[in-house]
Amino acid sequence: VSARAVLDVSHLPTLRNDSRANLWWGNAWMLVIESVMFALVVTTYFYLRMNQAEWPPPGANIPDLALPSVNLAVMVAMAGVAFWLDRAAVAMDRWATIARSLVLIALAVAHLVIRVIVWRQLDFDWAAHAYGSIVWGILALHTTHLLTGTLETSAMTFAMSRQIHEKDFLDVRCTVAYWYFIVGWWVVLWLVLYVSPHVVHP
Amino acid sequence: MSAAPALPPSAPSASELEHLRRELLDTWHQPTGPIGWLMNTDHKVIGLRYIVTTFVNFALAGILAAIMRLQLSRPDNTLVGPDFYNQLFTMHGTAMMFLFAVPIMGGFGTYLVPLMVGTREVPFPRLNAYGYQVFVVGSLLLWIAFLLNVGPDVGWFAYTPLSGPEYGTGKRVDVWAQMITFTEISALVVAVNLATTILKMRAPGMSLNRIPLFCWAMLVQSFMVIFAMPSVMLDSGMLAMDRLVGTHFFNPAEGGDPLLWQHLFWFFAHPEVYIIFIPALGFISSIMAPFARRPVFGYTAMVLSMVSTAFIGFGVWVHHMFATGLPQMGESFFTAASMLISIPTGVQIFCWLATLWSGRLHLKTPLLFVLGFFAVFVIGGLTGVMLAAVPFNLQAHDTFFVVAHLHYVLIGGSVFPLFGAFYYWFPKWTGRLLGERLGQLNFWLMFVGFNLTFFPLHILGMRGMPRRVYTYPAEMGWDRLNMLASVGAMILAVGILVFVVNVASSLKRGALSGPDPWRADTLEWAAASPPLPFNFEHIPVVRSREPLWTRTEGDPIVVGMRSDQREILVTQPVDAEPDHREVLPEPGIAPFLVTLATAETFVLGIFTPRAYVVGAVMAFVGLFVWLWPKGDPHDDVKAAIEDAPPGGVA
Repeated sequence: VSARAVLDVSHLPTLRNDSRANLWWGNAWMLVIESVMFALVVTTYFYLRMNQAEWPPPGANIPDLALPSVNLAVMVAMAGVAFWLDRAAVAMDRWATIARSLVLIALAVAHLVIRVIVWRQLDFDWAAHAYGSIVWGILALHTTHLLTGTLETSAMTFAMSRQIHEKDFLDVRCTVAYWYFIVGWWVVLWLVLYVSPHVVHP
Repeated sequence: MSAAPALPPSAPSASELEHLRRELLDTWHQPTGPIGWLMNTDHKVIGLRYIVTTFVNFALAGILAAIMRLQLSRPDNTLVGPDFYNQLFTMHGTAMMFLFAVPIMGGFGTYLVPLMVGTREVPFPRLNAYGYQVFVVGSLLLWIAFLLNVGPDVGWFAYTPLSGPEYGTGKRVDVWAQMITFTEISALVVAVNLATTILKMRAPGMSLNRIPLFCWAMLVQSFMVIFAMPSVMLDSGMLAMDRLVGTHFFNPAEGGDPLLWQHLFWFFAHPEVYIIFIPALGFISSIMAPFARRPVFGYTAMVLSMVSTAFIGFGVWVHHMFATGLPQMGESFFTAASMLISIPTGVQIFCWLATLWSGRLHLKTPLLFVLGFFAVFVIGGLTGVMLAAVPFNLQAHDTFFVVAHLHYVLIGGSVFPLFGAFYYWFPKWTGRLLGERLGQLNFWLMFVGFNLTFFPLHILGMRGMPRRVYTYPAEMGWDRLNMLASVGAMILAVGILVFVVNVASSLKRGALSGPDPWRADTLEWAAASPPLPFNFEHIPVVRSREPLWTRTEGDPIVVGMRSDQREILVTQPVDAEPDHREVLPEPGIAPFLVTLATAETFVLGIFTPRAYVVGAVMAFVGLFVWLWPKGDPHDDVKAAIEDAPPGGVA
């Protein structure tokens, strides 16, 4: 046996519930990728607008600001609940995690219902003109992400109600990061879809 | 490092090492049989599958090129008609870019990066398996469509309005657009895995300034993939919607804009050139150090050059659009940016020249290909500077001059280093060396054949011969140079055939290489050839930039890792100090279920939007199986750790 130096790592933890974990990084990369996608969609919106003398084009209604803004408040409240959920995950408190996830899911469903109502107020569809295409495209892209988040949070909550392991709290924290991403982009998209046609005229 | 290597508990004895190896083999065992084939998550297996699959794509796309060269060898040739010719050049470009050049770099990275940074696996092995599977679906989609005469025919960049619903009738363009989705998902998956491996899983002591240059190249490339690929996915998605459900993103009659397509496409596709080229820079540095018997000159300058190339690479896309009538002020900016990018490239070329100048050269096949790179790539770089100037660009636009330039850059900058990399790492994959005499023949045939094929195209382009036209009349005076190019293409093809023969014969009869045939400096050569499934019995501790050249008997190793679980060591991003141990998931069938969902969505999505709804349900089921919590493998055997011998090799 040679007297070889060793670096003993047996004392190191087997779990990190934060940005030191690989899963946290994997999740962050996905959010960066999707954020690039959203940034490009917003760029596309203004690129198409650049070509137009009138925006929205004649015949298309400028969306009313009231209900979307109420719904934005619901969305922002979700970020608050997500933060609260994160605290429960850090504390590894199983039932608080489940309860706060349920609040988050309820708010998401409420937001989705209002979103559909607002959506139905549009008097054009995706095939009417390029404005219709990009508005419907943005809504579809963000709603897909929102539905995915709602389904994922529901499945996660269901799993946690049956059994739970310490490492599952890392999943919760990654889900919270996903909700911040959903909310953050909706604030931007609310500005683009509902505010920008009112305040900036080409 | 915070945890300085301590002396005793002493390193394991030979019998303990044998015991450890058996246990690790058992733990890191992969499932077998046809279902097991689909479940396999070993990064080396996935990496080699990428390399083999992409090489098949390369050969098929090369055959299409050979048919085009045969067609163009004589004026007024009728070997193929215009419609088939359109499919030929579109398929050639599409397959070479999306099914070969990008994924083969990912394949090399997937195989090599974990070994080079001294870890056992990539952090998301099941995702890795999924990425390869969707790549295969994308490849099959394109080739099967081509066989069914539904091959894309609108150029590899599928410009609107030609590719739009009005002119691009049938399903040819839809096949192209969905193939993009599959290959870009795959590229993103590889990028996420490699970036996390490089930032989070380096062996203790491998601080940022000790990362091998190839890993730096793959890190920079992964960032570029992450920022560039979404652009083409969005672009092809909008094209598919314009064609399938009647949106108007690119339809000027309804407020859309065909130029939007070009902006989004080139915002991806110019960085893509660097996504292909930067890993090749890593190949060159990897090969050069052992073959010049010295570390690569100017490590910091090399790294900074790659990083700045990546940044500038995102600011030059409009130089592909000089002929579209954009404002001249804007064009000047992109001319300046395009010329600027030659500065970091020049820095790297001079660093390598300094390395060669001061090294003791060992002139074997891998180095020959690197030297070939210099000759070919510098010519491509110079014509690139010419094309960056707007007046010349307008004159040469859509002529064979551009074809010559892009092949000098891509084949010179990427394929020559890639073949060098084949010769260099083949012994690591197989335990056998490729034949040296066939290797030299391979190189010279490729080098001569390549230049004979593509140099005349510069002249043809300046004489006005346009790209993408299936034939030309005899009175144009283009026939001799075209014949020369066609002869060159056949020599090039023979060169590649020699490579295939070399591989086939060396797999069985090649000289045994041992772990480190080139006396190289990086950690992959410390593993067996081919490496065992777990890569290293002990994770190494790195104390220099060239760990194998400064290796001593007493070099510290990492102990205390569990060998009865697929455990990896996670380290901190900057100084690679050990942070925690993580257990990777076992191989499973869930990634394949999600592959099926992805395939259903985007293949049937060519025909009906309902496929997306069905696919979403399938994906939910697949992901539910994939992500259902399996518990913490550390929970059940905590007692065993307490029984382990001091130092805990158990």
